[in-house]
Amino acid sequence: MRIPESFVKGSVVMPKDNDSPYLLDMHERGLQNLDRMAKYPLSAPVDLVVVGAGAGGVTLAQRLARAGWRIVILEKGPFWDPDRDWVSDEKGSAGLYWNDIRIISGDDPIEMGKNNSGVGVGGSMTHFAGYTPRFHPSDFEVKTRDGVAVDWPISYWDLKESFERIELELPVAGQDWPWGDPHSYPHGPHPIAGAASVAWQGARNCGIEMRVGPVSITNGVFGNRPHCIYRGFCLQGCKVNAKASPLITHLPDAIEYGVEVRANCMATRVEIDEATGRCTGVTYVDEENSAQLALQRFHALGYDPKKHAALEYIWYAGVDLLNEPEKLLEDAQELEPALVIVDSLSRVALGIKSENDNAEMSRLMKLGVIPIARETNAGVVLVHHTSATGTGPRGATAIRNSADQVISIIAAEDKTKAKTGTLNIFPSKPRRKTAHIAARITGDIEADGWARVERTDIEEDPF
Amino acid sequence: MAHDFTEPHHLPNRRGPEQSHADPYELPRQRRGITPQMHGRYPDYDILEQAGHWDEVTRKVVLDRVDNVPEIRFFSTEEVETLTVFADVVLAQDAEPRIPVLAYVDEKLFEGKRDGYRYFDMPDDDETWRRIARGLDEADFVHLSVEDQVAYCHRFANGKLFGGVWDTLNVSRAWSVAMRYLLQAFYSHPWSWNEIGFGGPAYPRGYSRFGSPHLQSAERETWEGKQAYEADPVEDTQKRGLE
Repeated sequence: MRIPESFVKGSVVMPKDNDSPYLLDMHERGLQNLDRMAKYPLSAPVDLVVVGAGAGGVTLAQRLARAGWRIVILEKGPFWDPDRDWVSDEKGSAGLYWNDIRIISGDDPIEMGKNNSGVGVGGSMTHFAGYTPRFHPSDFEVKTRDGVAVDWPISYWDLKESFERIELELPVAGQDWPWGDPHSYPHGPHPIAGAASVAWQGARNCGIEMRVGPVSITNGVFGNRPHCIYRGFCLQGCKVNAKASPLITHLPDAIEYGVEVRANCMATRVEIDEATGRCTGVTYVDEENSAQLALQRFHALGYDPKKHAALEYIWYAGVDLLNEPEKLLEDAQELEPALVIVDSLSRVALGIKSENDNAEMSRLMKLGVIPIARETNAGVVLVHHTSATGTGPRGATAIRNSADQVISIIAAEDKTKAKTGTLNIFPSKPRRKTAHIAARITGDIEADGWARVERTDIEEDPF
Repeated sequence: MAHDFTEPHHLPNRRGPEQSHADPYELPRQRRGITPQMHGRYPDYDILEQAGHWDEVTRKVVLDRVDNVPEIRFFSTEEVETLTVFADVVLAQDAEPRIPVLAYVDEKLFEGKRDGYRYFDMPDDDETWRRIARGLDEADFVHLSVEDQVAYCHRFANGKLFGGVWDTLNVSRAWSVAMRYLLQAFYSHPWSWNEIGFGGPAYPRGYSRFGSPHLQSAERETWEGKQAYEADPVEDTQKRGLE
């Protein structure tokens, strides 16, 4: 059995792909990096819209954001600040629950509200008890073993690594678990209270073994998150930042990688393109009005702006990016675009004599392109055309030195018009990784500079 | 004249005009703070004395609940009259001081706050409350003897009320709606915390003593209430023939 080094008790090993514990403040509970949160304009295409900032949505967003996806999370409720919004009082915590009326029926229905659903960033995990047991291997085979329900199509062993990863990230504190697949937890067990110790003693007297169950509550310092203080209000939102919820376990990291949470925005409808059956966006209502958020894969540059009315774009022509970069930079800062496409260099960088000259391209990178990538929250795509007769995209060395990645585009349909070029994707933040893609131009490059590009392959699938 | 300390008259008497009312059996009289009817198992425990240890937002919420009892805005005067008697019977608040539970129920209904669900065969909670008031009026609940009121509430709890308004309601579910509101109002009030010895808010100081009976020392925080009346509530109520 492989035991990750992080599972050694007392280890200081922290999750490798989640910096959230360090992005929190030691003295304030609210998120400290909200001022760095991306703000995508309403019409900007994003890769993924997540409805609900809960355990599933935020965790998914955090991982995909690290893979370069642009993500907006719509959340009906507010952005909680535990210092300001949460109280050590049951009745005063009613705002944490999804209290919109749902109709229940049957002989013994589950009562909704505080029992099972949350509202606001962090979802129901803000007020769950913290209990985080693993499934047992036998739980996946209840049909085979017990003749009830159905077997799962996957086994415990498919999920084992995921259990280990999330137990490290929350982190989970508990006694070594002897049943099912025996395993350990990153933090040791918490002390038990009076009532539990009576139960423990009673069980011992009956010859029954008990274990202190796993809870996602720090039992030790974890990054900047403090030790639990045993205040007893886990179900009212942890004012200590000791109990896990995605608000503190995954969102701080997700924000660093460009995830925007749109709080107080309730999704009302998923928009479907009737012709293709594909989802095109999500309609939501915020406190004042309703709005539609365009959903568009960032990588799939094949959309035609004329056909996608939801995509607003401003076309610049005759901009001297080399000598007057501040002009575009000012606009870019004001408009807060998600994506800046610099295409047809000879038209937008009038000072450029040759796209194939390394020295000139280097100046263009330094003065015109990199500042846009750095100063705005936008990704920059630079389309660099070179002669098809050349041995390769010349002048690209300077681009390669600064670009996150360089992708060759080949327009293959009409050999006589065939061009080679490079599509360079600049990360909007140095830490952002973009998924590797290869693209192929499926049609001619339009007069306005838009190319029809079809994504053909994702070398590094974020899943 | 000097106080006779063998009698309880030297203790602060906050029982109101009905001070002739005797504490039930040997329940101690509350000496610090307020409990409903000024008796309880923790006579020297007042949770509100701990308010200085709470974080500011919690302190504001809890003290506001005690100091600023909301006005009646949802129920009519007649409904208040009926439902107050009903609430006092089911919560056994038979003397002052009483936790003004109906004011908190009224506030929640007036503000349109709900608990996130409704049974398919029930009207909205506000309509349920109005029908309960009508049903109680039809039985002239207010003017029944206390014994009959208690018996009526037992039938209510068991869903055994028929005729009139009760035929338009799932009675046992109406009872669960009423209890959900009333118990939340009662036990969210610090006076009830005094009565049951609840430690209340514990942020930012938390707990370091967990009440383990196996530890010889430091079982309880120093500020937690001391029980003056050690009795198993199950055995006690059985002994008294209350179950």
